Amino acid sequence: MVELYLEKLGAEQEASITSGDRLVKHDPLANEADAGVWNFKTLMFPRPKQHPVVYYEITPAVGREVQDNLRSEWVRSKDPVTTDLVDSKEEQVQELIFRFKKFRSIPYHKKLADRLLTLFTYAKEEDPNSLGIAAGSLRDFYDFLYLHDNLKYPSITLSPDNNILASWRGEQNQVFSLHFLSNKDVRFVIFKPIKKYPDRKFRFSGAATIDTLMDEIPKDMLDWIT
Amino acid sequence: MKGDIVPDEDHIARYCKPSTISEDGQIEFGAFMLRKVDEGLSVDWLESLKCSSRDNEIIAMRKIYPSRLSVGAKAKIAILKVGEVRKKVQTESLDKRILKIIHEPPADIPSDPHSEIYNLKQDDELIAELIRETICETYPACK
Repeated sequence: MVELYLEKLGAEQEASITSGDRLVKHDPLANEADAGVWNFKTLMFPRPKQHPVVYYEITPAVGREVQDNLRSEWVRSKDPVTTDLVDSKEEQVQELIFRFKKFRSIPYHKKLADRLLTLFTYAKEEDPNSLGIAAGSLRDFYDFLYLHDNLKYPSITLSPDNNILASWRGEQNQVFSLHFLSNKDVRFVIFKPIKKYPDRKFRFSGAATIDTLMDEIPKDMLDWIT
Repeated sequence: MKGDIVPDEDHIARYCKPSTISEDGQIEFGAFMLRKVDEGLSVDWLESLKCSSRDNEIIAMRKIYPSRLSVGAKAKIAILKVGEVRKKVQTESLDKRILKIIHEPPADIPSDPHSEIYNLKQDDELIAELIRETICETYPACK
């Protein structure tokens, strides 16, 4: 079936696929995990729906031919994804930060949002051409906290490439540090004192995904960060 | 001179930009990580300044930084002893990494203290944490 994306002037946000004379609703981003509401299965952060209104209607002709049946008010749309990406990457980061402020399942959500905004400002001052904070990294950080909303408030800073770094530091020189790389990848470092040799410590580092990391680490290694 | 190995008994200063400083003013491990485009971590050899005191070294560095970068109001200078950094990393890194700190001044300013820490890798979070643990002093980058 041929799909045509047409932009309706001044219309609301909906898209339709037609087969024959039947209109079927279609959201171009519906199959993307991060469209619409929070997707628990894929644990993807929802992106704002900014794609244009798309209504179209196709009347199939004989055999496999498809004949467009254009409404007079439709105009052919430019690529919505490219436009959105070019115009709103920085806005996307800012909107992600704003969502942290609404992240009520963690008690420090407002403090967290303020901190992210501060880091965003610092990063832009350091390099006006940067996006401030890497959006993929920020998204993954949100997803991680969503999965683990019982963690203490971490120290949050940025990597040289503007990824989120989160660190928890214990009173006994324990360290749990995370580097959110986007695409669900996270690198971690754990330092934990060895009781038998107080001047020495366990040292672990590695890579995992944001949704499996905490399952793989023994609970007693990190019970001090909750 | 360019290419000199910075001695273990000497000190280096690392400019730590505001985005690497925590809310409570602590320098985080991100200050000691490489960017994707970096071969080495930029530092400054303090004893090469031939100042009479640490305070004078800091004053000198505060004059040098603005010629290289935009100094953030909340930026800090981390002071590390070369020998402690190298020993800590070699002893406690998983691959017994041996770092080299080499004097790398610009060609037109041979007296510039700029140096580089070599043999770091990208996403070397563990080694960045180890280096962080060797910070012996910190100062604001702006007076």
